[in-house]
Amino acid sequence: MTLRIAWRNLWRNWKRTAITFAAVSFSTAVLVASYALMIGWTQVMEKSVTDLSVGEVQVHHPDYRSERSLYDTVENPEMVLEAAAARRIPASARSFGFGLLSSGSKSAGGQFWGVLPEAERAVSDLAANLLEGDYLGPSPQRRVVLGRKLARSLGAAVGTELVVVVQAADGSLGNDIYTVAGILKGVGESLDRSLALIHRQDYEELFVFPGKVHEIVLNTRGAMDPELAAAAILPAAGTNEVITWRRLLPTLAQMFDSMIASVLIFGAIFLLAAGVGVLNTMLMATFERIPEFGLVKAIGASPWRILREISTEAVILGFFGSVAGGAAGVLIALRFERHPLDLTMFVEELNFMGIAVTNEVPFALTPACVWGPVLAMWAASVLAALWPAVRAARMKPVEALTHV
Amino acid sequence: MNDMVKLEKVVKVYGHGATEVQALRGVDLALEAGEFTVVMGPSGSGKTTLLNIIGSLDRPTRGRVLIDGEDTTRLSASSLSRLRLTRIGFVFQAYNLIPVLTAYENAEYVLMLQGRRPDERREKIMGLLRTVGLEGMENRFPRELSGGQQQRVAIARAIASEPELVLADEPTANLDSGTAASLLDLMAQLNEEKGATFLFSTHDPQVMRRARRTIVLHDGEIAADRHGPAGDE
Amino acid sequence: MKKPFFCAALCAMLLIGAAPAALSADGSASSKEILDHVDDLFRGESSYGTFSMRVVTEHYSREMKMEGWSRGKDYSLIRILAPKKEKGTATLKAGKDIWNYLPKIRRVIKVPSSMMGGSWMGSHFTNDDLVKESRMADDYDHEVTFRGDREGVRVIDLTLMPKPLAAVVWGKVVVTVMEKDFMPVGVDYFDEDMIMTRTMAYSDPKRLGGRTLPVRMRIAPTDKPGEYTEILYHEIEFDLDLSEDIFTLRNLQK
Repeated sequence: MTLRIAWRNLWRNWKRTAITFAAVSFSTAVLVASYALMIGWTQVMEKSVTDLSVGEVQVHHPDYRSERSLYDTVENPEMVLEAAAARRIPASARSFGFGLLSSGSKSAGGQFWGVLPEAERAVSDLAANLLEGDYLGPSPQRRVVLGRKLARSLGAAVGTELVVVVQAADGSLGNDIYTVAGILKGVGESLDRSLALIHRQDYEELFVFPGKVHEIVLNTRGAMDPELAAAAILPAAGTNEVITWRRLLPTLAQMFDSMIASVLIFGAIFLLAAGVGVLNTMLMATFERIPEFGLVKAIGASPWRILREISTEAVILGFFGSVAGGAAGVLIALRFERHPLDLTMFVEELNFMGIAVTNEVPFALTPACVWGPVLAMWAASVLAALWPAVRAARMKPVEALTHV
Repeated sequence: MNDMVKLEKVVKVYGHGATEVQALRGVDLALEAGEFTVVMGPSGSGKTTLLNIIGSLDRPTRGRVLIDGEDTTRLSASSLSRLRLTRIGFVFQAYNLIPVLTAYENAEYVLMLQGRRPDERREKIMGLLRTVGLEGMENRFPRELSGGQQQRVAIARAIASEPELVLADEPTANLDSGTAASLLDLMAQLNEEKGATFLFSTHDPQVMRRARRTIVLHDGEIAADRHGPAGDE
Repeated sequence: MKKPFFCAALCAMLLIGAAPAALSADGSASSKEILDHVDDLFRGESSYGTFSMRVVTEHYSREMKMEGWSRGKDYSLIRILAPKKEKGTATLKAGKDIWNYLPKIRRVIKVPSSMMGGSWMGSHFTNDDLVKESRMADDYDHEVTFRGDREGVRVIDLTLMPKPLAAVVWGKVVVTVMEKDFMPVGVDYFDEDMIMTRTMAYSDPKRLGGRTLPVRMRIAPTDKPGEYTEILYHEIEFDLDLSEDIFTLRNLQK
């Protein structure tokens, strides 16, 4: 009976019901879509961070990150790589070294990365971010892929011959001529300014440093929790330091966390606004019917019954409103999950704390960003109705009966 | 002590200070079970207030109200709900029915609140609606019924739970005399058959003529209280 | 970064040298005279020498044989003779600039200013050490702070504090010489916090190029125990008639 009364009451003033329904469903849809947007945004940024070059997990000599010494190399890199391969975790070993690159009268310092091109391609998207030219070939050919700003300061283009001089590991002056194979797009300030990507074998010859590796990068591209990936190779890591990107870049990780927090705050504000809207319509609806409640009380309904009748309406309205809004939000989010939102019209190039971020923002629809807003909006509508309901329930029947 | 209702020095004041209105000024009254009594008096004499206080819809400012010896002024809101639900039936002048419920559902409502079983409710309500002459109109909504039909539904609801006391505040005010007469017949019949106590407030001479006891209220005080129908004043 | 004494050490070793003023060894020489003597010991209008450089670090040890020419204080050229892998690698200093010639790729590379603080040929000398030139007596306030026996030898310690506006990096320098002939024994370098960071030790005085010189010098960073760079002179000649053409980029590539 309560349900029947509530249901009929909702239809009795269908315009008001429609407005409340629209308010609830609109707010829910916006919440769902914006949650999906923000989560997608955060994921994109996290992916930008991890997939571009950082990876999800890194392995170093325990002193490498603080000392940056050429000689602080990974202990038994083969074991780490084998452990990663055994768990099907893509891994790439990198050897680093500082050196001078020059072209004609122009010269600049660069950070050489000696990598096996295919392994590196599996863990980082550097190869996919070429502005011009090609990525490194599978065999060592003394070719180099340059960061954009480094190329610019050298006046180098694809095909330019660069003289490379480095302080080799044996104290000698390592030197050679390299040909520019490709130039990267903007991938972050420090890489733009300094990256000189070369074949690992070229590196070994240039730096007279065979078999030495400074960093092993693992990247499952989200297939595995970084902590689990780290744990998977830990037994093979020996004395090496194994670190996830979140601990490697705590400020960035915190930034992402705080973004999620701000989404939640944003959502709470939205809930509040929508709740006030629902409260308003529920108030109107309830006050209009106070004499009716007076009658119902007079003939013996308890205050609880009044409360239940009014809140049942809100429960029904809130349920349908939030579910419909949730569905609409899901549709919107799915649309942008397939066809990412292109921010190019707003900003040409996004750069987040020195790391380039893609302009395309796909929404990411997680179950939580659907049922979270739906439940919250539902609860908000019910809560908004409770106040007028309590008021009506507490009125003396005679007051309610004569209430105009 | 078989007083169904007993009022002791009941005072009801509305408002404060300058706007203060004394609706009842110390009313002492006793109703016995099975009475069929009319409260009359000019507008503002306190008839509705009296009925509301007896029906525990309102609390007196001072004084006591006893229903079957129990002081209702000391009961909590939910105890009062319970009291109204089980022992008192109301028929109001207006706002009598729940707009979203059909005639049948309105009449059934109190039984439902009492937690009676659906089949029991159905049997009872169908019978009652037949009694009040609304057979075939069970599924009409209040807006689809005439004023008299609405009041009939209200009466059916008021007596459905077989209350000891039925309070009717100007039940015929909005009805034509023919309808009013048939309603009064109905209530008199119920009074006799079920032994329910009826207390009306009214201006309607038709009602007054039916009363077996007449109480005249004037400026919040009982001006006259006599057995038999209202006189010719 | 100015590291004048490395220049005085390395360049001076290789290069330059007006005959040092004869100093009276009777102990009456002033601290300025002693410092000028040390500064001038290796200087000449021009010079030529051959030497070997041994570098020992935590990570590698290497030994090279080199020859070098100098003219005035602005020009010098050093060429690696051995080992074979690096033979022909050469460094030209002209004024404040340094070029390296790399025979493997047959290119001359000017060392950019950003890399002047880097190691020269893997040694404990920086490129800056080659070009920064100054005279101790000009940039530092100095006084004799010790005179007496140390390990059975009579020595003099001169403590140098930078003059207020002098563009030098050291917070303090202590120069130790033999009391008898002011032959340098060692130099200790302190940073602004007065912590000793490097030491230079001179030894093996020999008669070379008409002068008596300590032909072995060893520089050692204090914070890396066991590491050093040692230069041992084999021959040296002062005040030769050297053509300017020697100190050209073209000659660098030969």
